[in-house]
Amino acid sequence: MKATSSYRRALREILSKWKRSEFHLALSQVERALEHWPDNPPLLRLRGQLTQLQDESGPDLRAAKTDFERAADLDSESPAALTELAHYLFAVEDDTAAALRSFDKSIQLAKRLLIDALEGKAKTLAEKQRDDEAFLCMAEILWISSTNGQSVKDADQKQLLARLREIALD
Amino acid sequence: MNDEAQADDLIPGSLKRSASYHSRYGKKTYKEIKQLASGHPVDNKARQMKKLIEQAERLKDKPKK
Repeated sequence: MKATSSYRRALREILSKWKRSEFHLALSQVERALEHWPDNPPLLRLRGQLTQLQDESGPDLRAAKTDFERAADLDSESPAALTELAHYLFAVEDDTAAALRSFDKSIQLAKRLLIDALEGKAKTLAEKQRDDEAFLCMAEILWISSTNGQSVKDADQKQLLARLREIALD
Repeated sequence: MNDEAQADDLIPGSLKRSASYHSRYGKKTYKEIKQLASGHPVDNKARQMKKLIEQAERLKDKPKK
């Protein structure tokens, strides 16, 4: 497997061509990168995105959807591929029901990741006795966990508060 | 995005293969398509074309964000 620096260089080249609207070249670059790092979720996602920016002679449009589904399957913790899949379903297939399901899954994943990071940050801040900032992180967790700004259900709220107390007392 | 640009210039060739692409609307401007898409009743084909235009724009701008 090629070194990390080669991977970063490959990504930079892809993005550089993309920024210059050289979509065909960017896609070729992604294809070459996938030869070295097959089944790499970020590269699959880039290929899915760039497939939609090709001219009439480009690859089958449905390959973009397959790439997003594969990326989501390989990296089940990441919301990025699911978000791209949702956009594709919404705009290209005009399938709002499927798009909503994908957006919802992506949002739940993103929330979980964000809460995990905020919990960690709150603990770190509390250890440094930066209690006000730790409290703000916990407040943010509470806000994210609510549904459309409304209060969480009673049982969920008790669970959430218990968890926040654990962090505060750690 | 340029409101006066024609749909065919804003939608890449690959996205023209989507069932949401309607060639009859290709010469309409983005502005005209937006108006048709939000009309009463909604012009469904214009609505689909608008989404393709905006998807293309979102993807073109991705690396700049």
